[in-house]
Amino acid sequence: MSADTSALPFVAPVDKDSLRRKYAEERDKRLRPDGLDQYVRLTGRFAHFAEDPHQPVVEREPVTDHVTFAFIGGGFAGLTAGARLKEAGIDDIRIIDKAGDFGGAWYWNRYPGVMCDTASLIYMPLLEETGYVPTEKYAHGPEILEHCRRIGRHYSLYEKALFHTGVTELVWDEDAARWIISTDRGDRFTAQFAGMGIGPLNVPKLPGIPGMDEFAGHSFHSSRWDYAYTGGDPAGAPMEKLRDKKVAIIGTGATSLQCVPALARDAQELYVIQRTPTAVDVRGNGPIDPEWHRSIATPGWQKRWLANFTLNWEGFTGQPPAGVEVEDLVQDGWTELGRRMRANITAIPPEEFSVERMMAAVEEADIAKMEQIRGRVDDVVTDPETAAKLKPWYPQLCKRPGFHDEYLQAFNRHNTHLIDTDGKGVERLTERGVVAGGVEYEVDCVIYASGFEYATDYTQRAGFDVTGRDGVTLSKAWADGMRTLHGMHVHGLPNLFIVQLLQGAFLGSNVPHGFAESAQTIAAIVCHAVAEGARAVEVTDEAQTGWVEMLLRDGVPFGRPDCTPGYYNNEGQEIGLAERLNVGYPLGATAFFGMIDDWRTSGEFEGLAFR
Amino acid sequence: MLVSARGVRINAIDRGAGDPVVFLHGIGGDAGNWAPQLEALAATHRVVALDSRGFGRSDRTYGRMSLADYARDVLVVMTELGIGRAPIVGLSMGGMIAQTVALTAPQRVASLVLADTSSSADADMKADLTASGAAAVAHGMPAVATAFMPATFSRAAVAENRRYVRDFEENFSSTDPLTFNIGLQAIAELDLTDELHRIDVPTLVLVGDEDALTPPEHSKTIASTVPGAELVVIDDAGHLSNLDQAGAFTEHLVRFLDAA
Repeated sequence: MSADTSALPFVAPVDKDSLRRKYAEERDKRLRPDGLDQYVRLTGRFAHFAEDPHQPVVEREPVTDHVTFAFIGGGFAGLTAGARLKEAGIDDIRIIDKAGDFGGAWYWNRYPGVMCDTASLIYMPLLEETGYVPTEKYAHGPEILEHCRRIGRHYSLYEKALFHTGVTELVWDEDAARWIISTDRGDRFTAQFAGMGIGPLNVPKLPGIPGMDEFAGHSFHSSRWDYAYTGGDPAGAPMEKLRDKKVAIIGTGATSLQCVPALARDAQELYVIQRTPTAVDVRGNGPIDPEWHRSIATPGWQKRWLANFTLNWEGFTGQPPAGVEVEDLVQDGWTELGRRMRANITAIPPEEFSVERMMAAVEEADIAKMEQIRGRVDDVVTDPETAAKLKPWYPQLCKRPGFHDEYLQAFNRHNTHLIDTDGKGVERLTERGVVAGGVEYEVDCVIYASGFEYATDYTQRAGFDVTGRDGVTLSKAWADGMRTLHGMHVHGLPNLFIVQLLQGAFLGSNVPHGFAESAQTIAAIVCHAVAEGARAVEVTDEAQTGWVEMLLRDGVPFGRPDCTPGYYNNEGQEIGLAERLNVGYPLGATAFFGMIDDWRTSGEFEGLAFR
Repeated sequence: MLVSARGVRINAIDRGAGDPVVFLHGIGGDAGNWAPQLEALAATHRVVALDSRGFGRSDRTYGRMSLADYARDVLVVMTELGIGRAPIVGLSMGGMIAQTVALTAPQRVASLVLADTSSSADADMKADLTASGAAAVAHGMPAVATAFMPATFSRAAVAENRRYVRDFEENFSSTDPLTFNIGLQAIAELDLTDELHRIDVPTLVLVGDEDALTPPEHSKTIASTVPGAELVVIDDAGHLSNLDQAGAFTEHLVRFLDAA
């Protein structure tokens, strides 16, 4: 890129060419021919890793009734959809979940230190409706889980809910215009409408390391934290049973950032095994002053905060509002990141604008930020050798950006050891412990903070297939990649609403913001169908094809192939048709929400056929 | 009014009485761009000006569109409005659609007015179209508008910041970038020069002498290829010659329609 960037506000005082070479070297040594196949599922001999350690399964009779709406998934997606449908007067709603309660990700992820990664006031749904005020700028897990239960109680969603229940089949009965839903608890009931909100990160994955089943000590995945083994609790009580234990944690992503400080505090010895360091910026968590909250909580406040966050965050993916100075309500690392990109892009004179200039402006802002993040490692970590290994060498948005104020500090403790594998990862497990860099570390416990599947085959992640009109199945319809209208409607699957991020707002907004909008859309369509006496509603083939063509023409895959490998860029592997379809609305989340609002309030629901 | 064309609603201005004349606007515009001509002709003709699919108040589209698709919309709207055959006046992309209508449904076209347009997209034009589309999607229409306006109007019109320049820019800026890009990609496929010899209706080719987007050379090619076509170069006019020199444009149009 040769564009002149001297006029940009965020200019990095570094030699860009040598930095680019360093980034490329670090990337190349992490590329693996097996890509996503390096991970294994929690099935077969690893099935015990997926068991629910939180709540016992309670016996119950199978259900064989009919409801107006069945929603599969009891996390934020299902809770917000349920809430909006209840508000719209649809009373018989059934939420089904594999977990023992509402909460979704917050039901499963109870590891010590777990907290939300975007601000509570925009992350936690339905705050205004339930009148709840979070206690911290970034609330901890137990508070968010309790809020999920609060929503369930507030909207009477517990009445018909089925927990510890996995759907096995969803089959459309065209004559009755109903879905027939079967489960692993012997249920077989019907629903006029169905929704699916299985979550973007619902399936934990394990690294496919040789020798995993030879290890004789204890091990678990971070999303199934074994407090019976560690002691302590999700509320933060010390894990006293780890006091005489040597612990290894594999993975240094978003989960590890949050639980390493507690492990460092409580374990006898802690080995943090690192392949690629996360870029860890300032978090700045703190209590929310209820007095201050009252002053901002005028009617409609959460909707305004959501819209404002999206405008600030999608500074470079979305379309800038012309000539408008956008205030920043949330003021955190996310909005700062978006605003920084926007500032550099808007500094380009319009008549000189080009995609190349824009890319150069983004790079410039990014290098400045990453220099700051690398500098922070030196400021915080006392041992220079450890500090050097904790420095990330890639553009900030190559991996999920991290924010924490205790993670880097943990490496100053004498019992906490960073085992950097120079991008290679753990070699193997033995009976006694973990081998990395040719050294065996004897440990009592291995914790897999190895993350979740992202954008892998949808029906496999759901755990069941959907069979619609004329034998159309979701797995076949999406065999070559996702095909929808607005990311929600699929031709051949009437009265079904899929709540997920792709082909819609995607990551241009805070994830629950997308769910909140989807919930409104579902309620509007169901109400329209009921009011019109329509038995079924389905997207036309033409509308779906048009949407998909538009995404292929104008969509921009999120991850860059030149990034360090990870789930953002298909592990650095080639981008095929399926990946090209895993994009958001090309004009960004704000534009998407605006378009969808027009679409559903016009009453036309262009592209849907009611019959 | 909205006319349903195979399930897609196309907006059209339909005014006046008499022999019908159909108007097709350029990309990033709408039927309202024809205001001076509609005003002048409505006294003696039935004037029908369409918003092309995705533009103005017509339904949005996301799928791929070809010039033939836009042309089919024109024909369906004409049928719905009870217009069997009429003169078709198209400017810029509207002119490309008009050529396509004339070549695919010659029986529906009484005469042709092709203003500030082209018959084939050369490599340079294709590169410009691709870059403009990418910039629109990545950076929004206002930025593209800023870059486009000096090329769209005459130097004098831009220098004086005339009212119609400001109006057009505002309207252009509010165009959906996805729709805009769909149109640009349809234009990139334009390849009609070798077909034009088949047109056998009276044809008037108009072009502004300062047209920077579809320069007078392009109009000369059309006029020399369509049998019997008349070429008029309008002085002190840019790409939207019907606005830059509304009087002269309308005079030529009326004279041609009266004679044809």
